[in-house]
Amino acid sequence: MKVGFQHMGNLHIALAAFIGNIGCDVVLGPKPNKETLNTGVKYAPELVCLPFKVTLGDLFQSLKKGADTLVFIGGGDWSCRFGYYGRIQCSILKKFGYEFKPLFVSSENTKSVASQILKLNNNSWTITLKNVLRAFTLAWHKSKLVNLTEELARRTRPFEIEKGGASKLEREFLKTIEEENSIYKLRRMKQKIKESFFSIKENSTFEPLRILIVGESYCVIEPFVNFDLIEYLGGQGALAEPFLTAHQWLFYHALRKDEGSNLSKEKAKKLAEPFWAYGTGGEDQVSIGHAINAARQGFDGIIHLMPFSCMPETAALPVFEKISKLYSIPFLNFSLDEYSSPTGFYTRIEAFLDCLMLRRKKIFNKSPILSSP
Amino acid sequence: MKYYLGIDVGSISAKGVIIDENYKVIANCYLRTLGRPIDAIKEVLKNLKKNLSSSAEIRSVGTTGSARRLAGIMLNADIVKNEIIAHAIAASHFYPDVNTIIEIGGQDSKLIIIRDAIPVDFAMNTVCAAGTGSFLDHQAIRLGLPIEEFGKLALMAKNKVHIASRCTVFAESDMIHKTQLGIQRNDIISGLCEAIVRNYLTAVAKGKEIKPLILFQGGVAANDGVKKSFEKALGIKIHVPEHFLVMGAIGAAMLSGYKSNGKTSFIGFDKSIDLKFESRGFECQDCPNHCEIVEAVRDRQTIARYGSRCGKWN
Repeated sequence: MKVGFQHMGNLHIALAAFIGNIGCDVVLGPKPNKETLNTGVKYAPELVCLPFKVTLGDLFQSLKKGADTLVFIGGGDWSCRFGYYGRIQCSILKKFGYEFKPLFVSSENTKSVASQILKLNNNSWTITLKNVLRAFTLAWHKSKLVNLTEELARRTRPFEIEKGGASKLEREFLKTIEEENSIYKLRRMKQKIKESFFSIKENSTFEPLRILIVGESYCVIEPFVNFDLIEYLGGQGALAEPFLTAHQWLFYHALRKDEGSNLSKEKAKKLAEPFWAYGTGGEDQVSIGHAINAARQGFDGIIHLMPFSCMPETAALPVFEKISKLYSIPFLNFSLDEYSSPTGFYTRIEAFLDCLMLRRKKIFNKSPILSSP
Repeated sequence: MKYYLGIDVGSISAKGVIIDENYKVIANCYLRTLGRPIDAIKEVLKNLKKNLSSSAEIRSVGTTGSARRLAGIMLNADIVKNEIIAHAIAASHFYPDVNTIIEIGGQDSKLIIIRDAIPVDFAMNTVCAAGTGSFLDHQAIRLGLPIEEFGKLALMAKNKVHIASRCTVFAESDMIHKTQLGIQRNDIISGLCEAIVRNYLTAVAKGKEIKPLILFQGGVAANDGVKKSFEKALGIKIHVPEHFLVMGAIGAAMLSGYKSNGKTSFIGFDKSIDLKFESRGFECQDCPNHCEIVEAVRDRQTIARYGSRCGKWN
């Protein structure tokens, strides 16, 4: 059985480890790129949100490479369009004559999907519980390591004396993690990853701007649609914190296990409640909670990413503006679609960072001189 | 004397200024880019040089505008800064009390909110260029009028005409429709100015707090009709600074001055005017991203490449 699925940041590393070790072959297209987007745009309804288009293109790539089973993420308890992603993408792909078995995954049916995979697979391979447990442990370790690598890269980048070292290390480690199939070796890798990042020469007196990134999960996590925002901010000397990482997303939705680093999902929702009583889809309520938390923790600014025409995030936008005023924390919103250009995107971010820098200098009574990154 | 040079190359026009140590404007130049930014920069430099004594010393150079990177590489500028900050810096120098800047240029319109002389918030038009300078330009050409007279004619309007403002295509067809009905040209032009302001306030300003003192900068500030429409819509008086056309360039020059340590990396007027400089592009085929790479070539040497996502060509 050849299983294909979509990318989202580095989510595929853990998913491939799980699916690949319960007797299926994983068939993945390249990471999202212009071609993926163009394919998605061509076949998707025009006014649907950007993640739908990119992931549709992504699934096309898997099919072209010979996948016979597709995992559709999205469906079920989401009250926004995300709830229809799987079914509609499936019917679009079927319309173009592709033959495949669809598997619909959503938060509330992860268990049934696991059993479906096992059932589908029964003919070719005998799966023991031991195999499944091993596959799961492997995916778990990989996901944690990927998360650690991303986090260390994010936190090292702004301090680097020689730019680019952290990104290079990140790429190398992600590749090693993806290829490594021994749980024993993965366990030992943690220390090595930490040591390698700690050995990068840093300017320890530098005080970077701290930026929280909130918004719709796919836009926050997938670097292709957000123009490598986290890496870009790091390069500009800003410490970027996404409110959600691929690892957190996976384990929250697959196991309801909160892997939140400093603010759990429940706490975030509680914080958001006075402004936003319940989630309308996407991650709007949690995003709002994180924004409030960041403001209280003295972050310098908030960047909000959403797909153009995204219902929940558009609805939440005025709340973010209110929080921005109430806690006097600068806020920048981007609505992304296939027409977004990196030029305009980076110009705005550059200006935003400059504003934040000037603001900070004013707060600390320093002369308003801008330094060039 | 010691001077700072600022260059602002936008989509429609190229601007240059020379300011002295007290940020007083010594020379300025504004001309159309005509799709050839490199030639436009050379032309600007030629013009500026004429106003400069031979003993003058350029201490630093800053570039801004959408071609800031290209200009920066070409001239070896000391600082390359985005136009939002450049405009804000210049405005708050000349008007320390400024709270709002409305800047409408060729392809984009911006709103910059300033409090206590520092920019705190900004907005730029996102998906659509309706209501920017190039649209006005296009309409002036269609009506066979010089753009300079456009604003004056709007002020001579006698009746109020409503022009659709959502999108330039609708605005244009609405204008044509009203012309064919026999409505006076001046009234239509005035209606257009109001439509532009309406579009700006709903699509760019989006409810941000517009407080006096308000400065109106950029090419469109030359248009009295738009200025008057803004005043009417906001109910607040609007100031157009003396150097409204070149405020971005002044800001760039000032920023370069802040950073200056007395030594500029600028290649000099004569050298840059005679420079053999070109930029060429190609599409990288190494991965499905097909990044468009731009290569800057000075004196037959590739001095910079940019545009790749993976950083391979940078």
